[in-house]
Amino acid sequence: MAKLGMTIDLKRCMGCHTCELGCKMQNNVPMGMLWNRILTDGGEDVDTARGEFPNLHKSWLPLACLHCENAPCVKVCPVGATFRDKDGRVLIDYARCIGCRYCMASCPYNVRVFNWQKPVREPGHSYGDAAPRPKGVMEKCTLCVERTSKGQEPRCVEVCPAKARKFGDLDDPNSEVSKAVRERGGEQLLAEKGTKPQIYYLR
Amino acid sequence: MGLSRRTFIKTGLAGAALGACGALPPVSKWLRQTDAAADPQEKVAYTYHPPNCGGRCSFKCTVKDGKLVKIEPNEWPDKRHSLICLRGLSELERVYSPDRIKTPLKRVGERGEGKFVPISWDEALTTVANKLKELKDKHGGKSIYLKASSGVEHPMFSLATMLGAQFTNHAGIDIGLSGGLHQVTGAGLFGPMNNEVTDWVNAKTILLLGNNFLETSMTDAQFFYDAKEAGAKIIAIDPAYSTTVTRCDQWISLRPGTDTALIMALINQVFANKWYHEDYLRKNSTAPFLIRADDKKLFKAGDKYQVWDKNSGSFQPYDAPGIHAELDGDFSADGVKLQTVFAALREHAKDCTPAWAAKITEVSEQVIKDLAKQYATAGPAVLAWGWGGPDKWYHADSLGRAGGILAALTGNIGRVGGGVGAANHHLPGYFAPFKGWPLPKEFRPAKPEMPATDFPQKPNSVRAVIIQGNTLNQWLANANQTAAWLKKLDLVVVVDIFHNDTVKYADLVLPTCTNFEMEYDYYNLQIRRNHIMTMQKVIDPLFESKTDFQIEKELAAKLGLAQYLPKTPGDLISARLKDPAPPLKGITLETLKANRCIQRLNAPMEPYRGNMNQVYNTPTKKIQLYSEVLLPFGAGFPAYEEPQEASPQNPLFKKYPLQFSQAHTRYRAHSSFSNARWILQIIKEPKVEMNPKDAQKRGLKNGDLVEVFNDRGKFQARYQATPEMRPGSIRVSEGWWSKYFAAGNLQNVTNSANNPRGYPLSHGPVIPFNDTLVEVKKAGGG
Repeated sequence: MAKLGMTIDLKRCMGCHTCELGCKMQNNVPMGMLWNRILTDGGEDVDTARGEFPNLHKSWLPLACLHCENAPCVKVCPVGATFRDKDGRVLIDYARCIGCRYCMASCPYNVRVFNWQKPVREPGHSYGDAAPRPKGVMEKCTLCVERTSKGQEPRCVEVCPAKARKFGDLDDPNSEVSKAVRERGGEQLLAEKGTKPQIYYLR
Repeated sequence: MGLSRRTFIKTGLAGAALGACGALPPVSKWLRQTDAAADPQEKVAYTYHPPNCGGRCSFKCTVKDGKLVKIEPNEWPDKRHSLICLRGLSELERVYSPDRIKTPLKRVGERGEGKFVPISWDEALTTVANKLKELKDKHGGKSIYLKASSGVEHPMFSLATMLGAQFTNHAGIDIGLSGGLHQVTGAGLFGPMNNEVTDWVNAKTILLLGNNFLETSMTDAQFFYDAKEAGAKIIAIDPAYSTTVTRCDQWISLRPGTDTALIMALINQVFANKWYHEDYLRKNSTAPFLIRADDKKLFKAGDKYQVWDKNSGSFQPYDAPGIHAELDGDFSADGVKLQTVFAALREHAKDCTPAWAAKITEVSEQVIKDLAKQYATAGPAVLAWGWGGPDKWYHADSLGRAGGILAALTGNIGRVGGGVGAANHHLPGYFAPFKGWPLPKEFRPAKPEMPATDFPQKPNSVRAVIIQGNTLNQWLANANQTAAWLKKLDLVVVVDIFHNDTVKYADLVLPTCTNFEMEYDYYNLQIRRNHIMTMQKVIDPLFESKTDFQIEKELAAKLGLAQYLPKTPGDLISARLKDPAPPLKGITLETLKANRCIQRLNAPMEPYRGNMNQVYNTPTKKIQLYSEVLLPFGAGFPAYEEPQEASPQNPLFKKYPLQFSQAHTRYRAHSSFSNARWILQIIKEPKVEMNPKDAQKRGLKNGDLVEVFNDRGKFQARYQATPEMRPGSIRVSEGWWSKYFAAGNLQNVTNSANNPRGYPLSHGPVIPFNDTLVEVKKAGGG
């Protein structure tokens, strides 16, 4: 039993999208879908700043499933396809998923993606470690369950060139993530919603 | 957190909309039958990533049923380097790209029209070999020119040597500052920093000059942040608000192309405040050397440079033991007045005051003064420039020289936590040179007649070009000029993986493999980050592609020359590893195989720091503050000059008031990855990035289709509102193939003028890509 979580240091994140593509590769994510997106906190388009030259602001927010302790998606799933596992990961049983998309509507972070059509993979074969998902199911970040259940880090943590991401057990006060949350004042996204995400952002 | 739910939804929808792009044919259709039926077992192979960025990340690749299914960072002996970036990951898709050239091709339309028919390898190689033989017999080997782009693992230099052809391994790009720095410190090609980036943690100040480090050197980002967390003040000098600027302690935005004025003002302040390191300069530099008043040359007796020795009160050779060379003072010999280099430099920089520089650079006087104080007095300081910014200007050599001189005056070369030069791509480190394959002495390449950048502009002997990579579009400015030159040639052969812009001009196209495919078990070696890596075969060649090694060998066979080449790349690897260089001791192909294709060199564990012995690769072995090489150009010391084209003083400015640059981004390495569809999910087309104030003047709205033009040519792309652009300058990120533009090619507008001062420099003249003026208007029907 553990409470698996992550910290993302926004001072180190430089919006490079490596985690995004690492996730795509690991999880066999089809074209047109991303489980892990890098949002620009700034202007309208990706990588653009807010403000007027030279008084500008720009930072990036990597966003995937936040594995909420109080997950709205788990509550609304009519068939029990979405569940929290013993280590705190929010997962989807694809065999049970009926594609109703209640979970998508309930998620305040918009991190779930839906297979509207037969998934298109480029290259045209399955890649990474995760099994392919059929048309008509919801999918999202699993905290790389096939890696983290073996004691490895999620792929996005492994590949981050800036070492902005840390992964560990939030129940262990001595873990790197617990220490970072304590010492740097880890922030939960939209904390006021009461969803209690297990991904903390460090500013 | 300030992000609204609306933001999440909006970006989510943008992602969903991309689903429509998935209508391309499944790639499995293109795979050879043999691949589908290959070994069903999973295997792991190790290779490294060469394309252009120079990062050379080592990869662990998983292959299932003959197909590449996973790329992970390999485990390095120094675990900090177990890295990958979005470009490395995107190779998984790019290897199987529909843009692959599948068979050899022969041109059928006009040259440049891009019409081809598939032919057999035998026909392609026979045609090329016969034509080369004919040209060599009639016009000599020098009528053939071979150029390999960066990132090509096996340039065909052996073949070129046997043909007596001209070849160069660099050509006018990314060498502007490096040529200047070479005059000062003897820095090698591309002018890498003396200290490796892992040493930045020991610096107190890190001055990034036109260096978007966090996009161009992503896999060094942790060392940037480590230095920052250790207390270094990181200052970015950049006209635009770059990704790197967002993470720096201070941003200094200056008028593009005026960096030399800023550095000259820092030199002025170092003198004015006596912040220079006297003893360091006396011992390690040419500061005490003497300049003759008559011909401005350095004073010599016999063939030895002289200094004034305080101990003996006489002129002595600069390297005589036991002398105390005077840094300052006026002297005379045989009636000729002499002044030390140090005193002359002080006088030269006297007028380069912060007030003077403030007018030119548009940076405030106080900011310049504070910057000088921080750099010169806070402790060890790094002056790290990038590629693609101030490098790509007509007068870039002066900036490289001024930067080297500033670092020297403040004792920041050969110092823990110091360093000067190009910081990108983890270039410095413990190293061992690799020689080419030994060929019989009768084979000699032709001496290059001129820098590659001149071939399209000046009369020359070249009648055939053999190009590996996208050189013609990426390495030459003014594409219309390039096209006119290519039309006059007898033969254009392009060896490449994808249908890029250079391929369009070919008579014959030879499809090469990606670095994951090969006919052999091992392909090449590289040294990066104090480690040596080898490249293991991951998958069989796709389609009918062959490695560059194989193509060179088969072409040589057609010419009756194959017996002189190595039989396999393994032979070449083993021969290279026999080099007696100490870092290679005990390393063989066998040990590399046993160590997942990566080993640490025999080198100390502390960060590499060059010139710690204060010996420099210059004729005097000292830091040279004064350049006799550039005296004929009146440039014994570097000076600020207005940009050649992109200056308000240029009459052309009235017609074309915008400075145009092509900046590197994280999404490509030069023109590699332009077609990487995983990356195209993030950035799907080139954008003309312009400050909204400039756009408003032209009546442009975000997303409008616009035309960028000048007298040289034009292209069209969408306008993106980019408040981080300094008003008066625009950019399109580097490396987009023309098929991604609404019309034209970004190199249609760029400047190819050569500074005469560049010719005697070690790497030749720089192409002033960014020293370009344009105007932008709304495109018809946009």
